[in-house]
Amino acid sequence: MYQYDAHDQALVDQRVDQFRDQVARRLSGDLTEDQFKPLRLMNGLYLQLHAYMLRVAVPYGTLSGDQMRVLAHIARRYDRGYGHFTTRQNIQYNWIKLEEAPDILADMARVQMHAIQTSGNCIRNVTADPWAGVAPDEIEDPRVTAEILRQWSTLHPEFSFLPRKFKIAITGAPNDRAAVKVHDIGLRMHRDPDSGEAGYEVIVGGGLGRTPVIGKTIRRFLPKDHLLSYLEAIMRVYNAHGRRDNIYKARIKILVDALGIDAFRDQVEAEWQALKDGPLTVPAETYAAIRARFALPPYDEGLTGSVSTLRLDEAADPALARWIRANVAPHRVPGYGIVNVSLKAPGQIPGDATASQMERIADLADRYSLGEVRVTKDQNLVLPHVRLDDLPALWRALDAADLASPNVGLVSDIIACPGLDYCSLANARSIPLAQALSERFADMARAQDIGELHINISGCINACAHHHVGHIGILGVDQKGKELYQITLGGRSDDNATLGKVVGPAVPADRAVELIAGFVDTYLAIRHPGERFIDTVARTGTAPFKETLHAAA
Amino acid sequence: MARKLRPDAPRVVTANRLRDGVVVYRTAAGAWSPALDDAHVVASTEAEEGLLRACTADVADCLVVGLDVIEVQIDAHGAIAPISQREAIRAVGPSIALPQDRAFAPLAAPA
Ligand code: SF4
Repeated sequence: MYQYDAHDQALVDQRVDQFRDQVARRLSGDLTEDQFKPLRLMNGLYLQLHAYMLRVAVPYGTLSGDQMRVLAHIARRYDRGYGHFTTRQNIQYNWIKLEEAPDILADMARVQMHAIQTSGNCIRNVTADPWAGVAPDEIEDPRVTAEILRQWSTLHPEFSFLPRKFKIAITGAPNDRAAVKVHDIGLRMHRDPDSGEAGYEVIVGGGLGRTPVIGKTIRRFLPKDHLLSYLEAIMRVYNAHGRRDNIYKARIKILVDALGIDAFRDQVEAEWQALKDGPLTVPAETYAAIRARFALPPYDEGLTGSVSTLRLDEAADPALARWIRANVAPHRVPGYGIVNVSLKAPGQIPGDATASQMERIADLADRYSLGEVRVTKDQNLVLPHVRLDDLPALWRALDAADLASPNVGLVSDIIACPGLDYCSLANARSIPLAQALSERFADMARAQDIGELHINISGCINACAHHHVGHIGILGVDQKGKELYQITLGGRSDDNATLGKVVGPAVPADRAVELIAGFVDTYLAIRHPGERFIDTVARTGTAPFKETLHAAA
Repeated sequence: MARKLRPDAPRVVTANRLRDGVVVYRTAAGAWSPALDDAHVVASTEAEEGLLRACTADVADCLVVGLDVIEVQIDAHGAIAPISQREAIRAVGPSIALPQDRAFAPLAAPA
């Protein structure tokens, strides 16, 4: 876990004091709503359909057990006993009172957390591979870089009023688990083939929302010491030329598209020449110092084996075996596994966890996972350092807290935004459809037979649930007061990131459930051995699925 | 702010209470109630403008924020219901059962 230094802590404490004063001035009438709104948004406080909503940053998705306990405390003390983990690895509370918001920020600051830059036209919380630091395929832990980016971008005066919000994702592994191609900037670690040195591929201009775009590589290999100067050059070009006149054209993807990646690159290179080798150079010692602040308690030595070679006693305990197969991934250290904790029990609201569940996760992290928890972009949690011989005990404890659904990455692991049940921008509800689908696919044995399949549901074109890159994507639309759902097939956010293709007209929720069940049946009927749903769609296109559409009509 | 409504559509004024964000409706007595059935219904553009004018002092006095006018319908029993689904959800809360925080048995001691 990264530990704040005195500077980090002072900054967060000062922000709490400032916000307390701002709230008091708003409540007393010294500030109008027009004056106050940008200030509350800078502290992650939105006004949603029913109440204020507070979005709390979980930097690069990493939490300690103690931090998770404070998130539980906030849910219980200031909200209605639950919180919602989001696709940006944050947590949102839905029922916040303005007058209590400063106390919440103060409680968070005590465990080195805050809500700074979770809103507004600034560089938002940097997201990362949720298996950072533990995945066997990783080159280096990307959270060290993410932390450097956090420090660079936090309250950066030049980048506090960008043309539009700005999202950065990073992965340290060749297999992309951070969706780097659909972010404003995506960073993917590579090794220089000549020197073996680790550096980044820089991808720019990706994003979803109204105009979905797969990012383009602006630089194949950037040595690590140049990270900040190069990113600052990108930000400067964007800040100077991004469309401030039209909110729908203000994201960097529109600028990159308008200029073309080559012309955009030329401008960045020109800007970079003035910055390169200057004060923004990140020396190796800085990486080392920040890496040291992530130090974990040591792993137990002398263990052997991996989850992929674990002998599962299917007959004795089929439910445990199923959970291990679906939810536990190989770890880089022998004798350990990465445990993915599903927040998607059938009928559950995707990403929601009660205060007691959060506390249970915190306690289990302390007991079994070196005190660490991760939040994933798929709205699940991860216990990243679990001894394989602890798996049965951990599974039992998770099961007792409704946290052992064996469906991570499967059809019922549905990603859904809050939609019209909470969000003031929504056109349609997301949650009831997610619940209906997860109940439809509640048979976990069948779900494992179906295999990897991501369903993503957004309640409006803002695409918070990344529906464009869902294997099956669902977008809620409002057609003359009717709540309908437009379905796409074939989207993906991995190394081969692709936008899904629309199949058929928008349909009501019950019909959407039937259609998706039909798509799954079609896949099962036509798949080749070893083919995942997304592979089949890539091979066949959407045509066989469209037949389902007509057959079921 | 208010969208254009049909000139004679029944309508009410809604807002969020500033200090806690609770959804409220303007009553005939000039107060704010969380219950839509307490709302003062008007049915003309002029009456709407008058109602909004009466509310502006409460905005200035920091009682409410996000003033809006929404179209409603009134059933035979006098119950008020919003026309749009968005406002219906805003009036009664999310359409889903909210997660219930229930305590778990303490963790067993490690083996
Ligand atoms: S996608 Fe739309 S409805 Fe869903 S959370 Fe984002 S803004 Fe709200």
